[in-house]
Amino acid sequence: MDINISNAGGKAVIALSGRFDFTKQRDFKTSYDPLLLSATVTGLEVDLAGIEYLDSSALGMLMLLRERAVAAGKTVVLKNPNPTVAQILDIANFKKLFAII
Amino acid sequence: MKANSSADSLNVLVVDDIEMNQFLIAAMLKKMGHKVLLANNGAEALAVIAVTSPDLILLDVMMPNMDGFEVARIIRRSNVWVPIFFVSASMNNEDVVRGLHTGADDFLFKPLNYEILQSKIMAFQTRLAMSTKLAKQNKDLRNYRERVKDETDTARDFIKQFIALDKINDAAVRFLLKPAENFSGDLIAVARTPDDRLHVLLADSAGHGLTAALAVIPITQPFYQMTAKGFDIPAIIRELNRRVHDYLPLPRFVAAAMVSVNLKMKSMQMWNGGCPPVLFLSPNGEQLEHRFISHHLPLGVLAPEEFDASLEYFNYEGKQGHLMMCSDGATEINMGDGEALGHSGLLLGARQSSAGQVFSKIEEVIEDQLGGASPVDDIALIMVDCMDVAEIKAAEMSDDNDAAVETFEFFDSDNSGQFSWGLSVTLTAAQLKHLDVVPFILNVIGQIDGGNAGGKLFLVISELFNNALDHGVLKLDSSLKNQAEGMELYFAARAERLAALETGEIVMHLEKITFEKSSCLKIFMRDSGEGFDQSKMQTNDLTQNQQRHGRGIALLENMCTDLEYIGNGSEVIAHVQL
Repeated sequence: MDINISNAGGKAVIALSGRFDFTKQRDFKTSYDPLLLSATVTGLEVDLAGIEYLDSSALGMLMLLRERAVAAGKTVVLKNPNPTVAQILDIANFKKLFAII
Repeated sequence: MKANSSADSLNVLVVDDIEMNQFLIAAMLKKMGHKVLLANNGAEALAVIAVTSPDLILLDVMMPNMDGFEVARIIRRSNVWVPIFFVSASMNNEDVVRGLHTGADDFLFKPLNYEILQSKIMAFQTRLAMSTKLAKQNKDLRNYRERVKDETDTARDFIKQFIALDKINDAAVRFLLKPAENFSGDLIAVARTPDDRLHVLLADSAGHGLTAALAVIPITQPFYQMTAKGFDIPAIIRELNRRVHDYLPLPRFVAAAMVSVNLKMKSMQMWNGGCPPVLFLSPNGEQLEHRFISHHLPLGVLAPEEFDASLEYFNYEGKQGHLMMCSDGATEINMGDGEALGHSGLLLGARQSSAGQVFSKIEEVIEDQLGGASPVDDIALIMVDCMDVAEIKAAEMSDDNDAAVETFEFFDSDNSGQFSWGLSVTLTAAQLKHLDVVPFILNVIGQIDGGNAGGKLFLVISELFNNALDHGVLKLDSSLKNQAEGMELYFAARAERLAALETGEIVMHLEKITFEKSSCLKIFMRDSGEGFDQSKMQTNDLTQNQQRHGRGIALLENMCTDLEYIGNGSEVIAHVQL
């Protein structure tokens, strides 16, 4: 899975592409840790446009990100899921945890 | 061979027929700090090797009788590997090849150069250290794997006990479980409450393998224990969430779907958090009568205070069919062209099959798609038979009770029976809101009386209490239950009124009286409501009175040896033979 970070005006965008599964745990965490520590970042956006598929481990990783972001006083938003991913997020009722745009 | 570091001193055997050569080489080796053994020919060399195991042999090629290659060949026949450096004036390619075939570790050329000899020996020592280390690591790895295999086998047996799949033996339920690895992160649990409601739980732990399987263990015990005590789904699912939330940190969570099916009343209640839609299919698998979508977050995500235990209701009166639950491992089976199988794929073979074959057809589709390989994600499939056989059983049960009434001689408990024990409970609004009263009372009775209170008693106390609470205290109109979507409206109204309840009271007195051959439980219940018009509840014919509220009282009259409403109907006395 490729991870691209861009940072502008307090909003950090984590753009993911490929397959988001349990093997990506460490990479994902390494990508967002510095953002959570940064004083200038107020909100994180996870851009799922390039994600073909995510499994339950990925859902767990997103939940963990949310927990940590809340603890750090920052917001997390999920963006651009494709229909397959949107359906997975829907069954898990992620709209109750995240704004999904 | 001993493990040596590069600086270690070696025992080196020098084999050469010319003494001067032996002397020269030995001098160099001693200067490097190594110990030297000498042999004049092949036979002597073999004798020395047999007695002291040298670490290295410097072997002259040109010797009379047995040349170096011959000696090497003989050395190589033994079980122990001794490193050999051939020493020779010069070698053509043929000789090099011969040397290598006899297992030469290196070649040295005369006249020997001290630096070259030293470097080759040091390089050899490094290789030796590496290969010794590798051998040790391999041995450690083999030992570790064996230990892990033992632990995994033990863990699997232990988990199997907990999950007790082989004990699931309900006539109405068929299921299929295919784990992706040795351990299944999917869990299936089936049990009946004392009043014969069927509880089915499908749980899918995030991920798969051993860690996923461990994550579902905490939820089996409460499911079985609370179902046995007659708790409803909200109480059970709330407890399951609490366990997962407290025991498993994120990113672990458990998707779950839990249903309570009342096969006699033809109604069901569902909680679905994170599982694919649960489908109620027509008998031949052709039509979709209802679909229970996942409305909730999976277990373990929300803290107990935030947890939502609200249910979806469905009554299938006048219909029959199959309830199908499956984990996403089934719907996500890859069909080979990147497309997921989905419900439509699973049901393809089931359409237009006979009612009894639907499950087998779905099973066939799964086996076909997997083609003998293990699935990518754990697969779980459950089918609950909601066909009409259940109806007949209910009628049979009532017949038995009539027979019981005829043979039992009912004595006036004030005179000839022996008082065994008595219990009085008064519950006001505060307790009625939060307490699961029926399982609680049954539990208390069980503890006082010793042993299981039994299904009949559970049903009677349930019915009496629910009538008292719903119609007496909460003043709900039972006719609402008759309408098609009435059940949902009814339960929604019930939840609302219960939450808002400020005043209200239910009083219970229970007395056990023992006779010569049997015993009887006298139950008195009073609610703070206004009673009801008893003239409307005249029939005690189960089969004729199909309405839900009517069936309640008719059922009571069949279960109890005596049933009497007092005053305006807010007080009732029931006698149950035990």
